[in-house]
Amino acid sequence: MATSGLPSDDLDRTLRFVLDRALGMGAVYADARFQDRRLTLVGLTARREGGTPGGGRAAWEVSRHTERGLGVRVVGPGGREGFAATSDLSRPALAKVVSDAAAGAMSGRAGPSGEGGEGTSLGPAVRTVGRAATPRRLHPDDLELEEKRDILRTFTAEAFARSETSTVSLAYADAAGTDVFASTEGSRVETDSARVILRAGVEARHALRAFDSAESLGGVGGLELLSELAVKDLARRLAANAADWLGAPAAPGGEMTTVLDNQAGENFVHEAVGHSCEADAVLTGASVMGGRLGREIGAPGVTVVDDPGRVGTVGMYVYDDEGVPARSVTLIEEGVLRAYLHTRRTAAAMGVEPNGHARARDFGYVPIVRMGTINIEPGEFTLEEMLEDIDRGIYLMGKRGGQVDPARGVFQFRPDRARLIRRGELGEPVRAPSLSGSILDILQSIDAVGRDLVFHPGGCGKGFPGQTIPAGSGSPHLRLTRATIGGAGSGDPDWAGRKEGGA
Amino acid sequence: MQDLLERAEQALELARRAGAAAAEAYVIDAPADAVSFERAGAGSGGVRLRTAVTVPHRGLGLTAQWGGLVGFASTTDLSAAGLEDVVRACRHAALPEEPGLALTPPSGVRPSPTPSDLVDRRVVEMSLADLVEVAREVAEEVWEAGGLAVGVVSFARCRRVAVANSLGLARSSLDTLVSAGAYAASPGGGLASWSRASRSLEGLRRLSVGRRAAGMALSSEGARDVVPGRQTVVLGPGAVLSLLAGSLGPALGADRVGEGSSPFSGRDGRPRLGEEVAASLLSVTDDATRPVGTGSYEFDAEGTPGGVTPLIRDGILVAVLHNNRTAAAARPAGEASSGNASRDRSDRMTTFVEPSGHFGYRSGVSPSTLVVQAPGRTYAGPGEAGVDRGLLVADVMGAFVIDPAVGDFSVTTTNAWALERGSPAYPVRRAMLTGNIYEMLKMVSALAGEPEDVAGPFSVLTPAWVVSELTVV
Repeated sequence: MATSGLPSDDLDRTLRFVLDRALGMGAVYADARFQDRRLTLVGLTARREGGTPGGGRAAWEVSRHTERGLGVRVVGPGGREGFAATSDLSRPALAKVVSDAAAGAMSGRAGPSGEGGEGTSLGPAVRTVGRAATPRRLHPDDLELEEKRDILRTFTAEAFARSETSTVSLAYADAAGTDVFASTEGSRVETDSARVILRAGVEARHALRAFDSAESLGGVGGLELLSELAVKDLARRLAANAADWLGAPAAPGGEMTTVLDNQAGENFVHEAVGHSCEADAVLTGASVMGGRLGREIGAPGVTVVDDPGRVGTVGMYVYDDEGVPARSVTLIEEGVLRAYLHTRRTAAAMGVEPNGHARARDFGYVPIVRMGTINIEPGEFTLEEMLEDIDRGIYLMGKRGGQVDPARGVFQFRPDRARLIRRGELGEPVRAPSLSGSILDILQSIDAVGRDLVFHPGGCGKGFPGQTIPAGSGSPHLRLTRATIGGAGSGDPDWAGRKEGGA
Repeated sequence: MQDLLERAEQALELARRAGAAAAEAYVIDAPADAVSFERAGAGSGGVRLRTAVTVPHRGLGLTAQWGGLVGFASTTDLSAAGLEDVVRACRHAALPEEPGLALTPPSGVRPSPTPSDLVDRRVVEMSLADLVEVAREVAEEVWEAGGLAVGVVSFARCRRVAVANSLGLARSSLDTLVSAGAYAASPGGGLASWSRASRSLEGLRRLSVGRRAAGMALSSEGARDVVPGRQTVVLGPGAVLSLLAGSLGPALGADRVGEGSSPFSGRDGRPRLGEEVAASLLSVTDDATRPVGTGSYEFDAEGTPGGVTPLIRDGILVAVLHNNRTAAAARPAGEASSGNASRDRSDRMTTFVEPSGHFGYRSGVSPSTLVVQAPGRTYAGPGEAGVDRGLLVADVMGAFVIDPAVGDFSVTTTNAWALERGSPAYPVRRAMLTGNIYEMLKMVSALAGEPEDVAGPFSVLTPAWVVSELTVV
C-alpha cells in the first residue's frame, strides 16, 4: 500500500513511533488514526433568465482539497483518555501530539460532588487486523473533472425542461482515500474508501411566489451511484415537486393523524430513535431510552436496525474508528428496546460487547457514538391502506433536517413538502410544516408501517466540539395516530380546533 | 504569526511560478481546546470529565487566476510539497469566471477603528488542564445554585490568521474566544441549557453560565401545556440569534441579494434599498469593531478591515453586506467592500462531505455582529414594554432549516414561560412557534431587557424582542 505522500513503510514506522512513544510515557493503551483523503467539490447555481430553456446564468464553483493527518488517543493508568491530532507528520510534531494526548490522559481529579470519579476503561482488548475496500465500480479519482461537471449539466438540462423551473442549485462532492488505524493492542486496520454525493435543489417561481424542493443522491461507492438515469429521474421529480407546490398555502397546525413518506420517516427514525439510543447519552442520564432495555417503548410493528454494512448507503463502513468491525444492531424489535449503539468505552461501562459504532469526523476528532445507516424495518401496509381510514390528516414528504433533545425526549424535523389528507385520499399540496413530538409518544402512536423500505443519504451533527458526518437512513411509509404539526393554520374551517389539552 | 504569512507568501510565489496572473492565500491556525463534563450516572448529582481534546484547525486556501480562469483549492498540508500540490490542484480546478471579480484590490476601503480587547493572553497561554478547571467551575456553579449538571462544556480557541495576495496585501491577526455551556436539571425535573462566549476568561466568568442554567432549570419545574393561538411572544437574545442565523443574517449578504436568493433582492441583482423591511422602531447595524465583541475582527477573510455598516434604519433597508467580489460586481459602478468576507459557509447547501475547516471554502459574505436597537422603545422588561399576557421564549430548536430566501419557520421552544401581567407565571412544555421571519420583523413592537452578545455563525447584540403576534401551536 502506498498512501499519497507517505509510503507504506514510512507510515508503519510513523504509527510505531507514535504508539511506542505513548507507551513510553506511561499509557496503558494508545491508538493512532492516519487519514489521507482527497475531496472534489463542484457547485452549480443555474438560473433561467428571459425564458431561456437550460438556464440563463450558471455560476460554477469547483474546489479540490487534500486532508492528511494523524490523531492519537492515549488512555492513562486511571482510565482517562487524552486525544490530540496534527496535520504535520514530522517527527517533532508527532512527538508533541503524543505528549499532548498523554497529558490529557494522565491528569484530573474528581467532580464537584466527589461522586463518579473520572474516566472509564475501554473494556476487554480488541485486536483487529484487516484490510478492506468499500465497493465501487467507477472510482471518483478515475474520472476527469469535466465528466463530473457533466453530471450536473445533465441534471440542469432535465430540470429546466419544466417551464416552471427558475433555479437549479447543485452541490456535488466526492471523497476518496485511505484510513489506517493501529493500536497498542495489536490492531491494524486499513480501509480504502470512496463516497459520492449529489445534493440537488430545484426552485419554481412565478411573480412573488416560489417553492423549492431538494433531495440527495449517492452514498459510499463510485460514480455508478450517480447514473444518468438516476440523475435525470431526480431532476424530473424535483422539478415536478417545485412546480406542483408553487403557490401552496401554509399547512394547518395542531395535533392530527400524520403519514410520513420514506424520507420523512428516515428523518424521524434518525432524530428520534437513533440519537436517543446512543449509549453515551444513555449513560449520562441524558436520554429517555435510559433504563428501558427489554421494555416495550413502541408499537408492536416497529423494528429499528442500524447496519453500517448496508452496501451503497452513505453511512456504510467496514471498521469503525476504534478498529472494531461494524455490526448490524437491532435497537428496537417489535416495539421492545433491545440494544444501544456503542463505542468501546460505553460498551465497557454497560458490560456489553462493542458493536462498531465509534465514528470521528476526521483524524482531528475523537471517535464518539454515532449511527451508521439506521432504518425502520418494513411492515405490510400500502400507502392506500394507510390513507383509507383517515378522515382528516396530513402527509409529510421528503426531508430537510431535524433536531433532537434526547434528555427531554423531544425532537423536531421539517419535511420538504406536504399534502392534506381528506376522507381517505391525498388532497391539495401545502407548504412543509415541522413535526414536533415526544419520542416515546410518537413511537407508541405508529399504527401502520409500510412495505416500501427505501434509503437516502443524509448527514448528522453531534458532539462537542461538533462533528458533522455523512449518515444513511431508511424507512417505509409510517402512520402516526397523533403528531403535533407546526403549521401556521389555513383558511379551511374543517381544520379548526385541532389542538387538545392546554392550560 | 510570521510563519503563517510566510506560508501564504510561499503559496503566492508558487502560484506565480505556475503562471498565475493573480492569487490570494488565506492561512489559519486555530487549534481549539474542548472539554466536556458529563453526569456521573443516572440519579447522581456528580459530574466527571468526559472529553478533553485539542482539535486542530490548520490549513490554507488558495484562489488563483490564469487569464480568464479562476481556481480554488485547499490543503491541511503546509509543507513545501503540500503547497506545491495545492497550486496544482488550484490550476486543475480553474474555470472561467467573470473577469475582474475574482481578485479585486481592496480599493476604497473605509477607514474603521481596529477593535480592541480581542485577545486575552491568559487564553493564549492556557493549557487543556486550565480549561478543564474552567468547565469545572461552571459545574460547581450549577451545583451551588441548586441544580444538577447533566452536562457542561467549555471551549477555547486561539486563532491566528494570515491573508496575502499578489496585489501586495499581507495581514495577520490573533484573537481568542472562550465559551461555556451548561445543561442543568433541577431536583423537580426541570431542564435547561444555557451557553455564552467571551473574548476573555474574566468576561466568561462574569456571564455566570452555570448559575443561569441552574436558575432556568429550577424555574422550569412543573411545566404545563401551552395555550395555543396567536399571542404576544417575547424572544430572548438566544432565540433571536437562532432564528436570524439562517435567515436575516445570510439574506443581508450581497452574494445572496445578487443571485436573487434573498427577500431583499430587487431588479438586476440590486438590493431593495429604501424599502420598509422591519417595524419602524427597529434599527440593525453590522459592527465588526466593537471592543471585546464576540463577532469582531481586525480584518475579514479577504484582508479587508472590519467596519460599521448600518443595514436597517428605522425599519428601512439602507445597505447590504459586501466582500470584495460582491462589491466589485455591485451595480452600477461597484462599491467598497464592507469587510464582511467570510469563509464560514454554513448557510450553503451541504453534502456532509466537506473540507475540514473554513479555509476549504472561497469567501462568501456574513455579518460580524448584528447590533439591534430600538431607540425610545427599549424597556427594562416585558411588563414595562406593555406586555400583559404572552409567552417568554429563551431559545428554540429546529431553526437551522429555515430557507433564507423565504423565511418560513416552524420551531420548537426549549425553555419557555407563560407571561401574566408582564411577568413569568409558569413554565410551559414544548410549544411550537410558526410564522415567517420577514413578517415577524414587522411585528416587533418593543425591545426588552439589557442587550446580550450571543455568538453563533455570526454574533448578535440584542435585548429580547417583543413580537406582537405569533402563532403558537
